[in-house]
Amino acid sequence: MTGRDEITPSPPGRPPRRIVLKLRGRALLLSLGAALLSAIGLVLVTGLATSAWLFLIYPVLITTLLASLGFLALQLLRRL
Amino acid sequence: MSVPGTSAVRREEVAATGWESERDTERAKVNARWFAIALLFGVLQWIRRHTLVYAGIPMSDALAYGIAGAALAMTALEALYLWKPGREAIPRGLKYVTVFMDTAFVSALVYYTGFTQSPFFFVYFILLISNCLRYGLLMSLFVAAAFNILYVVTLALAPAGAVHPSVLGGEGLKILDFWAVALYGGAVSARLRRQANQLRVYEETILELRAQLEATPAPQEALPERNG
Repeated sequence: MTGRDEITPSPPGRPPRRIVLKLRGRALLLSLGAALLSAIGLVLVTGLATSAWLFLIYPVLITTLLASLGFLALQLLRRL
Repeated sequence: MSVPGTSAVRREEVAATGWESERDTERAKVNARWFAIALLFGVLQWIRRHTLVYAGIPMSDALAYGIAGAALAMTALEALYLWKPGREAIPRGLKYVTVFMDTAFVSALVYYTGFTQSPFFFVYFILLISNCLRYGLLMSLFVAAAFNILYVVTLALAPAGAVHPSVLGGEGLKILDFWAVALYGGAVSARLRRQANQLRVYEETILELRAQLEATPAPQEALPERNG
C-alpha cells in the first residue's frame, strides 16, 4: 500500500479505499494458499495414493488450482 | 459428385452461421461412430483370440457381442433422432449425453481388457481430441472429468491384485496427463474458434459493404446527368 492510496478519497457510494485494499489483500492471500495447497495435494495423491478411489479428488484439486491461479493472474494483469 | 449450386448454398449457410450447427456436428459424429464401433470390435476380437485372459476377468462371446450391440443400438437410436425429417435444432445438452455414453463404453472395454494394461486406454484420447476440437474448452473439461470419474471407478471395481500401476508414479500420472492434454487442447480449440468467429465477422462486413456499394449509384452514371 502506498501513501497515495491512503490519501486518495474513495468515490461516492463506494466502500472506503482502505477496506477495499484490505479485502483484496485477503483474497490474494487466500487464492495463493489455495493454489499451494491444491498443488501439494495433487503431488501427494499422485505419489502416495493406495486406493483408486482417491483419484476421484483430482477434478476438485485441478479446478481449485486453475481457479486460484486464474484469479492471481488477473490481479497481476490489473497491476501491470 | 455434388449437385450444381449445392456448394454455393452450403457456403452461404456457413457464412450466415459461422459454424456448422450442432445437429450437423452430431450427425458427423454418428457417421464416424459406425466405423469406430466396427474397428474397436475387430480389435477386441483379435485380442480375445490372441491373448490370454486379462486379469482373471474373462470376456465371453455373449458379453463381447452384447457391448457391441449396445453401442450399435445407441448409435442407431441417435441416428434416428438426428435424421428425423424436419429436425433442425437439437438440445444443447445432447452432446454431453452422447459423449458420456461413449466414455462409458470405452470404460467397459478397459474393464474387460486388463484395466491399467488395456490397449483401449488410448481411445479416451481420440474421444477427447475429436470432441474438444469440435466443441471447445468446456467440452474438453467435461470429457476430462467424465474420464477421471469413470476410469477411477473402473480401476476401483477391479478384483484384488488385478491392478498393476502401468507408469512410474502410478495411475495418477496417466490421469494428470489426460487433464493436461484436455486443458491444452481446449485452449487451442478456443483460440481457433475465436479466430474463425473473427473471420466470420469480416466476411459479414464485406458482404454488407458490397451490398451498400451496389445500392449506391456509380459516379460515371451520375456524371452525364450533371453535365446535361
